[in-house]
Amino acid sequence: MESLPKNLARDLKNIVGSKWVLTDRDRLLAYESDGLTAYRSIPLAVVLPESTSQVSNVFKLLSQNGIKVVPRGAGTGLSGGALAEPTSVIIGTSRMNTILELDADNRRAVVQPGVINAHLSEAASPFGLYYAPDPASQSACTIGGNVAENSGGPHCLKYGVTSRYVTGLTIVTYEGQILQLGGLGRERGSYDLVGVFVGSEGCFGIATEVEVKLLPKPEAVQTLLAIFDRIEDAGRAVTSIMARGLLPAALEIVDGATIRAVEASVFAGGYPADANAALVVEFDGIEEGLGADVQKAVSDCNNSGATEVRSAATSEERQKLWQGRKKAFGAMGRIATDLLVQDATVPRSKLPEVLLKISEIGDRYDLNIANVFHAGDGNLHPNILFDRSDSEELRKVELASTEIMKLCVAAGGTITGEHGVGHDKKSYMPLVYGIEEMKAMKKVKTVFDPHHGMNPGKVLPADI
Amino acid sequence: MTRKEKTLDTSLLREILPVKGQVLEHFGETDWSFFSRQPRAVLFPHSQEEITSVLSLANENNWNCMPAGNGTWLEGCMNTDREVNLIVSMSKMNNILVHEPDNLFVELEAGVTLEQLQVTLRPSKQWLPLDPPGKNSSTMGAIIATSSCGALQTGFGRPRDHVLGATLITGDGKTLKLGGKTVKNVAGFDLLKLLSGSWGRFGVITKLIMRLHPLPEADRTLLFSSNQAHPGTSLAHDIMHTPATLQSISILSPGLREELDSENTGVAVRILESEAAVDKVEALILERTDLLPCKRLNGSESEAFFESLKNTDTDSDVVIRIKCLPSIMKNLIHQIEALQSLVADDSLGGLKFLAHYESGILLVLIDKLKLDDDWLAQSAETLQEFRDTVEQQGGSLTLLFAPEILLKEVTPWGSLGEVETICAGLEKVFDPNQILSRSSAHRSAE
Repeated sequence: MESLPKNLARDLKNIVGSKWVLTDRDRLLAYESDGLTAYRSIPLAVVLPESTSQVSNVFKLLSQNGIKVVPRGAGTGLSGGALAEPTSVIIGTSRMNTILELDADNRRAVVQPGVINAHLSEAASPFGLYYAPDPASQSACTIGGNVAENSGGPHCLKYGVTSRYVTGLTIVTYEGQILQLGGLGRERGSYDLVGVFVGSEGCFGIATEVEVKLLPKPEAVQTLLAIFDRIEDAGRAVTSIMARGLLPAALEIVDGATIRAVEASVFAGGYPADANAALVVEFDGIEEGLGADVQKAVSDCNNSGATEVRSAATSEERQKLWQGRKKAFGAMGRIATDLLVQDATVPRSKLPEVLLKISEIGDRYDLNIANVFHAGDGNLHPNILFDRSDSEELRKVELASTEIMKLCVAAGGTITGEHGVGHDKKSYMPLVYGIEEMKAMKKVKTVFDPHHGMNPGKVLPADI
Repeated sequence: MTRKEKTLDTSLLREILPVKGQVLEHFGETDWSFFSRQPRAVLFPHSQEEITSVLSLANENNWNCMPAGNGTWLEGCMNTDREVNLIVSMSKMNNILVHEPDNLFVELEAGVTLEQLQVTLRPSKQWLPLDPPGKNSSTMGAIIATSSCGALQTGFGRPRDHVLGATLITGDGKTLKLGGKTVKNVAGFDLLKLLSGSWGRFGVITKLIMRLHPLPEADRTLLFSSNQAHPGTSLAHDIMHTPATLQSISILSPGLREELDSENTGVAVRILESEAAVDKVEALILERTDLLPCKRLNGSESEAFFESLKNTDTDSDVVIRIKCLPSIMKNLIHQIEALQSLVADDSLGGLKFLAHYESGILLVLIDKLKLDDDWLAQSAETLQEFRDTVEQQGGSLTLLFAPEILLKEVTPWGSLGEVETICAGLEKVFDPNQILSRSSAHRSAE
């Protein structure tokens, strides 16, 4: 195992405090992977700064010593974006967890990157406001991580993804330069530097302060749960709802395998255990407008073959209807030791045929694939269950993943809707982009990170 | 060191663009000239291949090019040091290629106008919620390139929020297909975001894939009077904090009201909702304003009001766009008075403004300029001081349109500070020979 030179460790400790430079193997083990556990690597060290100036000084020191840097939030990412080579240092944002400004008057907040997504909405709630992007991991994932991945979530169907809500950033480049992009409502020049930084997966620099837009909390929410015998029918219901011009806040599908896993777990939400698909439909907005929309959606579900449609009358009932969707990933642990959460997007109308073909791929490789996904925006999450210690099964998982990616791209979709490319999907990039597009991406990275010290080996294939 | 420009030989261009009318050399001064200057030729390509060939030829010969649509924005944010040999107009590439109502997207050539698009979408009860200034004859490529939007951005976001995918022919003639057809797409770095607001400096946008929205069932505008007791910014502030999503909250200056023949209107609020919800939203707004009386416009009347509002800044001599937090808008509106010195003493209504409150956009429109001997020096100084005032309060000031001599003194964006190197670096990525971005307003002189 590589080790951090003593003088460098001493200098880093002088910047952030001796407690916040981790070099012991036992402690570094916690950082050997992110939410994608199929790839593991122990970093050279982990440094936990608490301010922009500390980040800047740490970066200056590391870049002067030619040591590459991997930014990390809560480590909930699912594409290996926070995986660090043994020669790289992880910069963790867990101590940078302060909401610096909650400006209800202008419906904005400025936060440090380590603030937990859900904590921001909780803090904004007394002002009647909330932060819209809501990744499934929102109780653990950080705003900085959301910025790096341009995260989505169930309610992005109506409200859009992270990039729509980030209005300003303080970033630190690999060389330690502190730059202010946007913020305070201003436009400095016409280029959307905030927009291109969001979703750059830690490859351009690290965001140390994030200004976000907050929304007024909707006056009312109505949630439906429709049960189907066939997942294709649930897909058809989604198409019907969207085709008639309704815009639900969320449209989520869980398949039979997932329902059974959840119902057998402590997270059971009362879904029929013999169902093959459940569709969660949620509308929000002005109360008077919701009733008619809900009735139309119920009708679409019934016409598409729903065997049962339930609605939630109270907040508690609503939470229960969501249980099968929100706790799906946790429940999977009951039926397999390892889980590969895939992420791809297809045009919504292609969902029924793509789902059938994913099922065929699972059968062909003799793999259990459970589907939990954001149906409204065509964002699929086929979850492949496997045992990492079985090398043959691991090989089949990789082959099946590749086929699923190719299938989605052929259907007019893309290789990732919200988890990012990270380490996991860089080999799939040529499925969606040509050489020129990838070269242009690399050149843009080089503008922000001329020495390629930020998050090495991520997003772009090595030969670009 | 700059490369030497070779003399523009239009016969070479005619080989690439063989159809009659594709290469225009002798045109009326008002059609494609800017600041009384004329490019050497205006080109009307019919295909991406033609654009690639033209840009490759321009690279070889070091000819400066400017992408355009129908020519509405030729003088917008112009750096006056810039010489333009060729204008490449996308107006002949104007086909709507694919519209998939079920998937809420449309793929189109960049020369399609917003009006053409909205007409096509209407039978499917869909629309693109963008309202750039001026008539709807602006092309979609130009709207994205200039990031041009109006009151609707409060509820629906900026142009960049509606773009799912695009094809760009870069300054060095490479074809980049960016983004895709789906709303969620995080494959690779988001270069698509750079196109919006790039003013053609990265390349020619040839195709766009746009996200669509269902047409709202109800369109209602509430018009409130504003006066000493109820200043526009206070009203707008109260209305912004209505617990509902509003599509526009616009403040009109007295001069603008007069021009719109809507003298009693200080604040206009647009609600786009379902039939069942629109009355409730109105009630919530009235509750916030202590039941202040207002005039109500519904359906086509509501649409027409905001249509006239967005056409107000198209002919002004100077158009300034200030972007700031809503809470400082009240101060800035008072401070606009400082710009009165640009207007001839005896002229009434020379200084107007339109604010989209929640979006933090303040458009200042100046007409009837005082063109005396000291005008230029004084105006430049006044504008620069005003820009400093805005920046001190955290905002930014962009000079969208102005007479050439004034633009030369004040520059469209002012200093970019620490991000200037990044902006210049990005221009070189897409346009290494700088045929599109030479003397760009984003860079200091070399």
